[in-house]
Amino acid sequence: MNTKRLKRSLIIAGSTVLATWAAPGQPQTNIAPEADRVLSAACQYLAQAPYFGLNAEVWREHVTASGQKLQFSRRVSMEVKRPNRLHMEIASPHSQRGFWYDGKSLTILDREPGLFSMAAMPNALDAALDKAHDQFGIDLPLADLAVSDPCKNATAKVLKGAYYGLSPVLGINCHHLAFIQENVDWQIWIEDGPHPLIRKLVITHKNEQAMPEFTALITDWDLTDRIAESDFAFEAPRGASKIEMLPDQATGGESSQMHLPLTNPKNK
Amino acid sequence: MKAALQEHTWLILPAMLAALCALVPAARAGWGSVRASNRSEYRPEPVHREAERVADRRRLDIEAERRHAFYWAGFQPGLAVGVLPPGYVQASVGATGYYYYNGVYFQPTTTGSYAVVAPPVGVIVPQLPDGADPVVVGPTTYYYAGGAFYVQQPTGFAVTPAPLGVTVTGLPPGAAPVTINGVVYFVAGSTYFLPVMQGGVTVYVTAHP
Repeated sequence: MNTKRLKRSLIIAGSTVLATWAAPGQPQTNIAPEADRVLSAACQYLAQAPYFGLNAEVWREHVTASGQKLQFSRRVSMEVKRPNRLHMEIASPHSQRGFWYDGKSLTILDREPGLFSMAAMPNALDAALDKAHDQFGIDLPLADLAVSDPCKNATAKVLKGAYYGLSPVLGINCHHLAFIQENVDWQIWIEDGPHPLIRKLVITHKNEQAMPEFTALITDWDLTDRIAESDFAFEAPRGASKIEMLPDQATGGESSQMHLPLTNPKNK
Repeated sequence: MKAALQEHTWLILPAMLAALCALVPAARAGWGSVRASNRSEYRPEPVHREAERVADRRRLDIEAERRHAFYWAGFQPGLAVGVLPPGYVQASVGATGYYYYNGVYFQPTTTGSYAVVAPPVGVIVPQLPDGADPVVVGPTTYYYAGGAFYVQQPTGFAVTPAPLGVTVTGLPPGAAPVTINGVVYFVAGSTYFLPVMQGGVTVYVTAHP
């Protein structure tokens, strides 16, 4: 083959790859108008409440090494005051944990062994949730509802959104919306009628083996009661001990070997 | 050689791009929120998949339920049974004999029952217990189940002393809290675990207090 032509076409191909790879990706977002209308109504309804509280039951799918899917559930209660307060309880018969964010730090209490840990956080929920995820590998369920612009946050990477009519969730008729992204697909069910409350959320993790799902069913909403500041302040239960909150070591091919001082660490 | 290389320098750029694309990204899980999923940065495929699986399990905070399914989770040193489980085998360390089944070690008592004892270091069993978690430490892969660390041998799996500085997601059955110099540890047999929080859940690191 003509070396000169081969050379030229390879350079063009290479430049094209470079151009598409280097160019800031602008995904084509295609959300059906009805889906957009329903989602916006839900976000606006949520955004106009300075405080909100909810109770939910969340289900996480765990895929075993043999490919078996197991679902494990938790009761979740969440109290939020935008822009910088959050209190969450995640509970099951075997494990009960509390999370407090007061604009300065995140405290996690593992109630059963009586252990808690703390880390400094920025003074805004959005940034604090991001730092908790990036630095500590902590993901709080339903955090999407606590951020400052839930709609903009949720649709940031959406490629396509569709409206699937009405379905009952926990006995309440809800608008069923489904969104496609590259990394996850997610579906949301929003109450029909004068109170467009979010009743169900499903996130499908397409990039993981067997595409495990996270499901949240929100049983109770409170958008009216004022939440006391003390709800967001952590108070160590009697006998609880402070332990270290370690940065996330899950990525980058780290082995389970951790680099900890083997002599007595001081209680901070 | 040098001349040939100069002739083909134009290949360098496309080759570099191909190599970069071949760094297949593996997304780290973001759980419970779309925002967390969107934030997950792509990182190169990790070398130790077991570590990633352990990390995911940690993040899911399901250890207490997950281990319920394994036989050894129901037994701790000090418990006694009247009858050995079917399928038990005999194992020994030196002159000391044990009955072993699926991660649990029994010794006969004077009253005719069988007492659960801590997994003895040096014993070799034919198979790993159900639910053994691989723990990679450098070139060695340990398997953690029923509070013991096993290493593969030509004849089976041997209980070894706990490697230090290793993170496990659950304590051995019957582990008890103990405070040493103001620091809380958990102790099971002769192994100490330092509790720390990672990914929002409590995990335990083998340590010397």
